[in-house]
Amino acid sequence: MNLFTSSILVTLFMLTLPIMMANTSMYINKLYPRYVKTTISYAFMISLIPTMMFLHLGQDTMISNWHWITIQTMKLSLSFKFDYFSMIFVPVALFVTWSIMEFSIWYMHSDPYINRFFKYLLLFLITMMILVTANNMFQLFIGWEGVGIMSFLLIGWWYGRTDANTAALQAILYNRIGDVGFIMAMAWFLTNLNTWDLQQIFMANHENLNIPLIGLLLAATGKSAQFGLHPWLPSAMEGPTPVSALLHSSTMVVAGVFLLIRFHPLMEHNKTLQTITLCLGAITTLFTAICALTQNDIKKIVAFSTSSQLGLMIVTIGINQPYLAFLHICTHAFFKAMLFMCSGSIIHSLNDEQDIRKMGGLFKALPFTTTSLIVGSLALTGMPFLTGFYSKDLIIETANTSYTNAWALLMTLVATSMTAAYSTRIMFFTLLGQPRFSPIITINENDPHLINSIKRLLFGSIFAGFLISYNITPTTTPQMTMPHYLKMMALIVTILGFILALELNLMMQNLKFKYPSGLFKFSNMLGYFPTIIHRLMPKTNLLMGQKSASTLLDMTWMEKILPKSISHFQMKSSIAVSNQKGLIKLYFMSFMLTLTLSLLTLSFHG
Amino acid sequence: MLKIIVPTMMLIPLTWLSKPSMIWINTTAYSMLISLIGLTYLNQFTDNNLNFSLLFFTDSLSAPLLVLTTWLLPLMLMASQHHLSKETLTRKKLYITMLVTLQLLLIMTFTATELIMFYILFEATLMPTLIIITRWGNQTERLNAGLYFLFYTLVGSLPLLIALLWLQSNLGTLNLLVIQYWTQPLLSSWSNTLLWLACMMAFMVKMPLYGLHLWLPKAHVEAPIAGSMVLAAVLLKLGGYGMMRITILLNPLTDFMAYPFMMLSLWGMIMTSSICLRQTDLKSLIAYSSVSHMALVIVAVLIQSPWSYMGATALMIAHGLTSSMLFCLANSNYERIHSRTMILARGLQTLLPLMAAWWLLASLTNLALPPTINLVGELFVVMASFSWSNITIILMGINITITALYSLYMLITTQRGKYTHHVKNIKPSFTRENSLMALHLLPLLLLSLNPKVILGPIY
Repeated sequence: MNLFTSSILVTLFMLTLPIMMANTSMYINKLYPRYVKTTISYAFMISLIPTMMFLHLGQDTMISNWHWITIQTMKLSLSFKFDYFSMIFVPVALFVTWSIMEFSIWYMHSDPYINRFFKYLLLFLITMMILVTANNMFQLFIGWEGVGIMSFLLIGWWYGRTDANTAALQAILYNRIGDVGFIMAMAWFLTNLNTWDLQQIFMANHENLNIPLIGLLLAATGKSAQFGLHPWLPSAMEGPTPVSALLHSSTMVVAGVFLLIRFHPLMEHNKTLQTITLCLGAITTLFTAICALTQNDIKKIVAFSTSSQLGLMIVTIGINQPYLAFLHICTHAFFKAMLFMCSGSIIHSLNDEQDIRKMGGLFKALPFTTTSLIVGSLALTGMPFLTGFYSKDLIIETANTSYTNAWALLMTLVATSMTAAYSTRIMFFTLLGQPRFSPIITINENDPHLINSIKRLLFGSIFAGFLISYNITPTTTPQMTMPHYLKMMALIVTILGFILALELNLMMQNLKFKYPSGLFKFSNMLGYFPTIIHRLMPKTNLLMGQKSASTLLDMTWMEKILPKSISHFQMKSSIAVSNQKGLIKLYFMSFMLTLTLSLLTLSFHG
Repeated sequence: MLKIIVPTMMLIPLTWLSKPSMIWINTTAYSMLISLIGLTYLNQFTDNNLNFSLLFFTDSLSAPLLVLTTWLLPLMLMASQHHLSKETLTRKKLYITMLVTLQLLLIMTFTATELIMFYILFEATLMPTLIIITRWGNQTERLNAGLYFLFYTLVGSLPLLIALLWLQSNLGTLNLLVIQYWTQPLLSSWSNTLLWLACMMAFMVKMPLYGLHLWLPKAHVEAPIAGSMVLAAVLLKLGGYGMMRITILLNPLTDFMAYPFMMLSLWGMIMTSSICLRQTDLKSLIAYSSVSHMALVIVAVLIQSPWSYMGATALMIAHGLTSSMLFCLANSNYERIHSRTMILARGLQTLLPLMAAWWLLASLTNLALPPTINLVGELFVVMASFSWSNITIILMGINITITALYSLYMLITTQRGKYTHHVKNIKPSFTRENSLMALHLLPLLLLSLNPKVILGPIY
């Protein structure tokens, strides 16, 4: 028992060491990136101890220390929760981060501020750890906002580029809209339950929880890029590839799903919210899958596939299976991070070329990357006995056998099939066929940092799903019996997607490019969403700010009503009332007249 | 209390008798020492207050503001050094004297026991501020700004004098410690409504309430750096402090009278935030963001619940430090670029990386990143307004979003992007400037560790 808490605290404490070292000469050293990477690998290994103990004994722990503040009857203290979710997520996140750190040593080696980059990545990881282990909402909020701000800094890493800055601002804006929901939930819990501690919140009466749950759903929508607040995720691909691999595959974007999983005890009896969640997830997964179909930027395709998988997780929460959603978070982390790293490897080798139309034939030039990309894509589509299969197949099966909203479930199935289609498209365009890139040879994937990091995740993508689902205690009763066609449905739609996409690609490859149809444009322009929301809304808002708030009200009305009108009236009235008109001749005249008159009267009087 | 007042007074002879090379160092060092004395008042043993004499007292509401005031003088002195470097010695000394006088008056205002004395000192702070704005501002518009500043605040506060005289003749005392036990419930009638307005308007103008805020952007923009700092950090807080003090007299009428002002504030904070989004002038942006933050304080004070009072107090302190820091940063840009226009100062991160770090931290505190005290304040205000009426969360939410947006817009425009050619040969950031920013930021961070010292009397 003592080993449990102490080793997990050691894990968390170790992560802060390189941050503290940033004040010493260590930080100027060229070895700082390696130091960070090694620290994380050690943290991962140590974190396995409590995780194994947890798997063996299955006991939750909660640590509460350092009393921060007590306000009236509400106590806030530093409090960590080590339960099923955090205990499984911490090692997964650390493992993935370890690989990504090693990958960044290779990817960012020419960056002059590589040390700062590693510090930011680590800070991000720490905030993520705060988020998953928090036991009260305030602490959760610290982690929640922390990942948001760190994503701002990391997406805008190349701050000279306008696009990077816009993307960073976009990420913050969409996240901030989600935060409003979080704050609303916090306010509701405080007002009605007078607590922010998770245990006490979960004891709440399950009536009338709509307001806080909608708040939490909004928060998750913002952070996990669900439909409506999704455009920031593809834009965030402006950041360096390691950032995309860490933030936009395995950690930050799943924070929203994680939040819903955390608060699932409140949600499991609320049918309204579940339906909303289900539909939101289904729309997201379908819409982003459609968008992914026609993209040409390799990172954007992977980003949209992340978005689609996040939608699938939300769907899983909507069908009341939080544990399955959590399993999918964990398995998804491995192959999605690897897919990003593979695309990073390709991009780097082709001299920063991201367009898949200008690739091709890479299976000979980059054999290792090719292997990993194919394994990752297959795992993503849920190929049996790869990592993705263990969660994705279960999700589809459970969805198929559940009796909730059939429309939403159908959409999910279509999206699943599309997953296979765009995966095929990536493989077809980058790996197969003739080379279409410029003949300058910069291709080299033989750096050990690159090979080792991808290799580790490759093993993860093959075995992690089996290991995790073999070891964790079963939490929900799985569906034991179902008809054949339902059992095979996930596989059939996936294979259908594969074949269809392959045939289409083969057939269309040599055809003349026709003028794009409306459907194509809808998909390629991301459903016209950015065009409408990113042009119209800011324009109206800024116009309102300028015209009505600033020019009309501040500069015109308020100036006119109070200061200007007062001074105007003062001026007018003083002019009207005053009898001094400046008519000097008249004054002298009257003066003289009175003088002469009085003199005359006086003299005649005498 | 004299142990703060007398040393502060003695700063004036210190200024005039120091060697020309030592005036800045001497005054800065001594005022910093004075600010350390005040720190002990943060430790309030009981729920009561610390009585220093018949005239002065402090409690957990005024103590943080008092400390903020004393803390700010050395920072103002540090910030103005470059701005005054071209002036003659006498003028420098006069300037410092003005700052010290203002400081003295503010200290006494925050600790005054008698309401009428509070009023007199409250008005007296106008004079040094006016002189600082109109004498040392940079442009001709400063005269207009001074006019606006003076007339708005004076017109707002004269009814308060009459109201106070009436209260004195009715209650027999205006002593803040006694008055809370003697006060009668204020029932709804026309004359009481007028009394309420007379009591509150002075502070509403000072805060400022949306609609009466025109003086603030003008004064902030035209004032020299020390003027902007003290205006944003302390003078606005006089309004919040006064409102919290005087509302004990005005119950239960406040419940009814608060509605229009709450509406104005809630609406106004969105309007002023969206004005921020369109500003090209850096100082004007920060000034409007002050209006928007102070609107939150007005809402909190008018709600009058324990949580809202805590939020209002915390937000006042947090905003004082943050906005003052932002003004300092804007000034350090101004001293290099010689323009307040944001777009002329792009891409400074490349040239001044440490300054960019300060910018980042200041913007993050301005948008209330957890766990800073800005968040504590804002969160408590949002909680209070949510429990007052659930609908307010929509307006608050919009404001939170826009606040984040303009803070980061400011950061990105000034620090990110490609730098322009005319900034190539600017000076590096000085130790003076860096320590100035650090001294703003340290209290913010330290208070986050233990926010209860600034949560006010209800805590």
